[in-house]
Amino acid sequence: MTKAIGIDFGVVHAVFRKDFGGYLSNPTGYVFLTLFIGATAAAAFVRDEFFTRNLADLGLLNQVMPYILAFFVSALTMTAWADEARAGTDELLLTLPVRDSEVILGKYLGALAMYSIALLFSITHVIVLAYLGDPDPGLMASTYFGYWLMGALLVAIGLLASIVSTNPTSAFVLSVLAVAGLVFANSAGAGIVGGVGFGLAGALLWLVIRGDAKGAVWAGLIAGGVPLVLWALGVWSGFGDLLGSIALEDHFRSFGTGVVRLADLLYFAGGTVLALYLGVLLLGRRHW
Amino acid sequence: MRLRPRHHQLLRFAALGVIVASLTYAIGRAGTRVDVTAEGLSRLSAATEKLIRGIDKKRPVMVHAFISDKVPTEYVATRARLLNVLHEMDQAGGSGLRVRIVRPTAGSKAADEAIDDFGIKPRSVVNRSGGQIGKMDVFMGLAFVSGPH
Repeated sequence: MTKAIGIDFGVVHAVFRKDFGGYLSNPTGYVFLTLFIGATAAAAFVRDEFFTRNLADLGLLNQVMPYILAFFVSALTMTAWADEARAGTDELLLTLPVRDSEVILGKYLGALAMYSIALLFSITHVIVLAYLGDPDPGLMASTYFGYWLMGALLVAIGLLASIVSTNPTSAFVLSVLAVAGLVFANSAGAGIVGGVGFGLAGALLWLVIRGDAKGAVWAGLIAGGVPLVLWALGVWSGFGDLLGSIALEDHFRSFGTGVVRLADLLYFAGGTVLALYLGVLLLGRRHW
Repeated sequence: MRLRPRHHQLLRFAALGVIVASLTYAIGRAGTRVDVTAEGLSRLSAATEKLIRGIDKKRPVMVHAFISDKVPTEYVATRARLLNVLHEMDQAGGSGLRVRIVRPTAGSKAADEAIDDFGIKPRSVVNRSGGQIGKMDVFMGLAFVSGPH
């Protein structure tokens, strides 16, 4: 077994193979692939602006990619833990002598591999652009790199949602809402997004420190309500700027214009690691 | 209070969050970036970068950019390049230079602001789309304002 940084990659590989195989042996996986390619193609080409813009790029797709991914990635990850619960293998998996981090990492890589395949197939869009015009190879590479990084972060968030709720529908809704929070963090509704974010952080703090779910609800309401009121009264002027700095679209924009920024790379990579670590933390709540 | 494993995990998570946030912020301020396009679509010239670096922080520059959302096909590439350059200037400028992008439409408050405050008027240009030829009012103007805000 290959071990590094306290993680047994043999276990990670076994979980990855099981989950990735699950996606590919299930018709839903192929429906996902087809719908993803169809939706991204429609967003990129089946719009009047595509021809009036007369530019060989994926600028129109870039505008809506966060929304498309919010739904598709959430659909991909919503069954990550629900399938285990339905088959009754969740308890077996979590009582085996494996670390929670190894299970999470294996499941994450399985879902990420599936998303990567979908993205790989969508490279046909570049072929269409090359047929119609002369796309810049560097711009295409950076755009797709941005799509992949954004998807990698959203897969981690989706997985987190499926840990919180093993009901697939609830997991889907939670994941879409979490992604919507990141998408609308720099919009007029930033105060609501921030209030919910602070509320969740407060609830998590209470839950971990005290281990009491009922108190966590009140802690969440207070932690979310106070900044929301301060923002609404205009007392906390930097609230919008603070939230704007976590907006998904702002960190993706550069990739869509052919610029790769180290800070954006860190945002996506760091956000992914944070979401996965939070997943490990919440998965361990059965021991609390 | 005796710390339990879950408390340690929470502390590690919080520390990780602080590290990610501060590194992202610090590197964002440093502006480490690479333009991977063949034609350098978002590259600022050396002279522009030098000019931006030389801005006195006590007299910051504010760029008010009034750019229409919809422009005729002939101007799409120019508009896209202008927006890219403005974003790059905003990123490179730090606290010395800020860019405000406004997307005015005919008769809007933003259009009034462009005309009344900065003298930026819409230009009526030929628009050939959908097999028809017509006129379209287009905003594509910048105003540079310097001094303490």
